Amino acid sequence: MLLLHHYLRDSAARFGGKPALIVGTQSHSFAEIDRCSDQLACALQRVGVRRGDRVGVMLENSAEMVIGLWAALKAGAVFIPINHATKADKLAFLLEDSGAAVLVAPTSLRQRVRSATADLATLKDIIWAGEAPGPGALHLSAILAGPHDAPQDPQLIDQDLCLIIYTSGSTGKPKGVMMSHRNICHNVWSISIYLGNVPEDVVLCALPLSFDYGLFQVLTGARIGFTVVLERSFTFPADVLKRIGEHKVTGLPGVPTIFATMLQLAPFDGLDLSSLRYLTNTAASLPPAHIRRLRRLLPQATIFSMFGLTECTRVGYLDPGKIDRKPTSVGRAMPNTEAYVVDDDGRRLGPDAIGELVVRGASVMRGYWRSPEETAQALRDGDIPGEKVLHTGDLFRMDADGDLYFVGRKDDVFKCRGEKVSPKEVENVLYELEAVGEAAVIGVADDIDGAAVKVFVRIRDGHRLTEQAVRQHCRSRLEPQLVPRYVEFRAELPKTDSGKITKTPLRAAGATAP
Amino acid sequence: MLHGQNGATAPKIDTARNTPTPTHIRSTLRVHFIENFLLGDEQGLGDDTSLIDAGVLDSTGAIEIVAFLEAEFGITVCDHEIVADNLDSIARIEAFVGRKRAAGQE
Repeated sequence: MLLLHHYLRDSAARFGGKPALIVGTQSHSFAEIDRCSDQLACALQRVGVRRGDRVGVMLENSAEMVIGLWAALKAGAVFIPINHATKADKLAFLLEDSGAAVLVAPTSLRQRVRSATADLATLKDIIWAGEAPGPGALHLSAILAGPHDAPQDPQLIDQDLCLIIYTSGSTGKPKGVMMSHRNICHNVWSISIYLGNVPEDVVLCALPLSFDYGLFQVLTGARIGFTVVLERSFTFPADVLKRIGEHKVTGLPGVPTIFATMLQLAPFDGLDLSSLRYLTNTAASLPPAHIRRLRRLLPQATIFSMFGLTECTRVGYLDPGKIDRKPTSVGRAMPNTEAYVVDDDGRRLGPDAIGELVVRGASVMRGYWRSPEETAQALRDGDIPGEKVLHTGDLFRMDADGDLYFVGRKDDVFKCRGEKVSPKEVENVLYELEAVGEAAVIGVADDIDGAAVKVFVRIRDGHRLTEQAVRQHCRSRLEPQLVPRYVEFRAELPKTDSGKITKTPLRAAGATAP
Repeated sequence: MLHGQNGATAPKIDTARNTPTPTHIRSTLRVHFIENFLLGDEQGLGDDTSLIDAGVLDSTGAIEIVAFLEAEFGITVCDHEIVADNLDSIARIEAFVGRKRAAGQE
């Protein structure tokens, strides 16, 4: 039996003083992360966290976020990563839906956290990170500074849940993807096999750890024993890229937005990127022109075009040897995983037919937390009695060689900066404005972000509304990637015969404008 | 057009004729950030506060701020200048704009 946090325990035993993390000028060894997470796990158990309880950690990329992850697992709990940009209403929803027992949050977001947690009966306590929270409140720094103690063994087995990651759905309400220790250990194993990770790797992670792609850099690092250089964001790309030369970084995981931003700095004068062994891309496809430029600028680096979804972490990757010939393909399933394309009746389709991608294997989630109907939609009977396979909602085709190509979504969810955008979620927030009579949200093509949020609004008679007011309201209620880039006011929105707003004509207009 | 620029009530400076003083730059930046990013909540936004910490900057935020600086102060910002040392606080931006303008007048 293997539990996810055994990776950390084993690496701490094997590599002890080696840096597991480098954050800014601070380096944190595997032994230190192991010891600190023991202490936080003890504190979680002291406030009553037991096997299977949920622990939310809402921190920026930091050593504390990583310690929070391992501590939750060691205490026997299920780790819920929460983006620190999450607004109060959504935070309240996530904590209530998950029934989180404890939240770890920054003291600097005290007001937002307090307002989100005011009415939560299930929340036992909040542990504050950063500055001291004041008398009577639990302070992470104080917990970590205390004497070392080992948590009680919570008697987990590998079928127990280890993560719930919330993802946007077409309903506009986030769904909690349940992953067991078995799921995640399998996926970490499979990914590190095809990337050929070794302890000498140094991986630079500027992706948020609240995003599974970011989190997996730390998890893979723990399994293999490599160092992760953790950056808070890719806001200042030249600063981040400097770290590659500074720490002889070998692996750079990114999304198309990151690589597009990086290419703006080409030809990388004054930057030493010669240590890069590989680049990985997922969340959305890299434009072939960007692949060609990256290949030319970084000839020593292998590019892995990958594809995944939170519900199974990763589906597959393109054999890097095929990238010049098939730049738009995401290849085939990763080790010990099967991926195939089916028609509406679930029958497997032949080459080049478009259908829904189905994923089968140990990577597939246990379902959506407390959402039996949505779970039944996504997890359906496979060929073997009792087996469930994942219906991804993504339309794909497979070529005659067995390589996969993404075609589109079955619903109207799209991705901005690699993160899913649920048009419904943005529309719900727009309708909170009294002046909004009708609203429709679509994604329009964007060179840097893949897709940008565009909203069409019909202003209610007798009301006034400005673009700025729309954005300000959205900024106060939504994470940055959901805030509309473009706002267009229309006297009326197109409707179907039954009177429902139809987005097809808007998409046709939005694709060329603005 | 990038969002966040329209409608800001920052003191406008005719960049062709007048050189903005440091006070002008600071107040212009402060008004812009508070109105467009902090929704009127100016608590905690000091001249040296990290704009990342304050929630003003994310990856698109940097692009917006660069566009704002170019439009407002008549400077051109190169990609390699989009670094924390130049942009991660009001004081740093003010110094950066000052340097750029001085270089531009030579």
